[in-house]
Order: sequence, then C-alpha cells, then structure tokens
Amino acid sequence: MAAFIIACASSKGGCGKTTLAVAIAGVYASNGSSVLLVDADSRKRLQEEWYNPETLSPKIKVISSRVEDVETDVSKNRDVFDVIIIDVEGSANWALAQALQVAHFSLVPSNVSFQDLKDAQKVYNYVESINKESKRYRHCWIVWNRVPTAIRSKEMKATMDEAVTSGLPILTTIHERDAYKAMFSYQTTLDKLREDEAVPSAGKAEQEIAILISAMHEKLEAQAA
Amino acid sequence: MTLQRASLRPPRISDDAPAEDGKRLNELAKSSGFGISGGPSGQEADRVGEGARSVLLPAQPRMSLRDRRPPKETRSFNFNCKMKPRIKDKIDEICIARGVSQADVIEMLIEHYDLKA
Repeated sequence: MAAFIIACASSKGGCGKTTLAVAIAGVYASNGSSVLLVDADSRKRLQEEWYNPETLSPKIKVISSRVEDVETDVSKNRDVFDVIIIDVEGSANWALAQALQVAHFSLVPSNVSFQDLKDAQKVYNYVESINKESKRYRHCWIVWNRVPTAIRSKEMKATMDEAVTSGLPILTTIHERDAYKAMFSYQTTLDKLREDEAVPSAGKAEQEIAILISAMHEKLEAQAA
Repeated sequence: MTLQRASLRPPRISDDAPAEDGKRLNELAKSSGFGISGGPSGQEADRVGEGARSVLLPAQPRMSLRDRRPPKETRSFNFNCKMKPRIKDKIDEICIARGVSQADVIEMLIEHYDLKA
C-alpha cells in the first residue's frame, strides 16, 4: 500500500496553505499515522519557521523540495509514510503543477474573497483538465478558510453563494482561530496545544480539521464506489 | 461530537494505480502556464473556459456592492447576549459540525421554532 498524497495547493499566496498542511499533519500524526510534509515553498517556511523535532511528534517529518523535484521526492517516500502532504508556494510554478498531478486529493484553501475564489477556480479547472487527460481521478476541493466564527458580512455571504452557484466544490469551512497561528509560534500541532491548554480554541480547531479529514476520506470512498 | 479514531486513519491507496502518461500531463501543465520560475508573481493562463463556470467573466463588469447584496431576509444580523458557557460550547460544536456561522444556527433555531408553532 502506498501513501495517501494530499496537496495544499493554490497559486495565490496568503490563503492558508501552510497552516492547513500543518494542521492536517498534526491530526493524522496524533491518530497514529506517519506523515511527511514536503515543503515546496522556496521560502522554506515549514522547515525553517515551524519544524522542530523537539516539540513535534516523531511521526512527522519535513523535507524541502526544489520546484523541479517535487514529483521525485514524493515518489521516493510514497512507500515509507502513511500520508504525504505537499505544501507549495503561492505561485503558478512547476511545483504546483507537479503537486496537483501526483496528489490523490488537492485542497485549495480560499479566504472568502473574490480574488481568492477566482484563483481557487483556476486551480480547480486545471485539475479538471488533468482528469480529462488521465486514467486516474484526482479530487480537488475548495476549503473556505479564516471564516469568522460569529457574524459573516453580506459580502462574504454573497461570495460563498456565488461559489456554490458556479458549481465549485466546497469541502468544509475552517474558522479564524488563534490556535492555527499558535501552531507556528509554539512550533507544534493542535493536539499538543489542546493538551497543554496553551490556546483555548485548539480543541475546536482540532475538531474541525478532523471533520475535514473525514470529509476527504468520504469523498474518496464515494468515488471508489 | 467526537470523531472515531478509525475514521482519521488515511485511506489505503493501492500501489497498482494506472500508469500515467507523464509527458502528456507535463505538456498540459506547460500549456496551462505553469513554469519552473513561476515565482510569487508567476503568470498562470486564464483557463476560465473549462471546469466550473467562471465566477467572474473577464469582460463582465464587476457588480456594485449594492447589487451583490443578498436579499434582505438573508442578510447578517447582530445577535448580542450573554450565554451560559455550555450553550456557547454547544453552538460552537454545531457551527463546526455543519460549517455554518452562529447567525446561521440561530436562523435554524427560529425555523425550527416556527415549525413547532
């Protein structure tokens, strides 16, 4: 059996790809899976700003991958880990194309804004064009990111409605929570933040990432059936 | 709501995936505007003609904020009160499970109340 490969992908910066990748890695690792995070961002944010073997589960490893080596690095590790998560930089570069090609499941985080949504749509359309050319089906789902927990503005509601009307597949909603930012300041994962009671919202954040993971698994099962 | 540990185990992916024509897919990537030196300002082809319908067609003028307003009955509203922590936690749990805002939960409650009335 080979690793389940997830791409946190978007050609736009600042939409939460790295945060989502780290949050998912943490929940998988805390449930017993070995996880490889492939840092394909030239700024190496994962490797240099987050990864700390002393504060993280030994089940999580991070490697940096050059733009042109993403596919090779994933192939080398697909029999070693249970899950591989590719984090790309916000750019329409070769790493993003390769990540979308090799992944079983692409997650496109999008803030609830028109700019982010347009960019997410481009990524979704590209994956659909790969699916037309390929024998293997690749999932591509948009994840609303940094959604306020309380009131949503009318602009937000309108944008969310337009995404649905346009036929874009929305997987889940991730809310704006301090716990996601704290993963970087504490160089850790949501489960540890919750256990240490470091951030009040860690448990809720962990729960919504678990729901996202279950939703991915359900979509895969539905497609396989 | 507590998710079962088993549901958070990654799916078993078969090794015998169909062989891919990597060259064809790479050509597709190149023709779609993906490049080695994309960089933060890299250009991507505007492939709005395929897949999902465009959210905003290039030639289409942007609607004014007033035009984009949802109907009056679906607009956000301010709901301000003190809640018991266990009620607040329950509302948070529903929001997470359903991916909705607190305002949506209150709207659901009112719908439920109206049905009961």
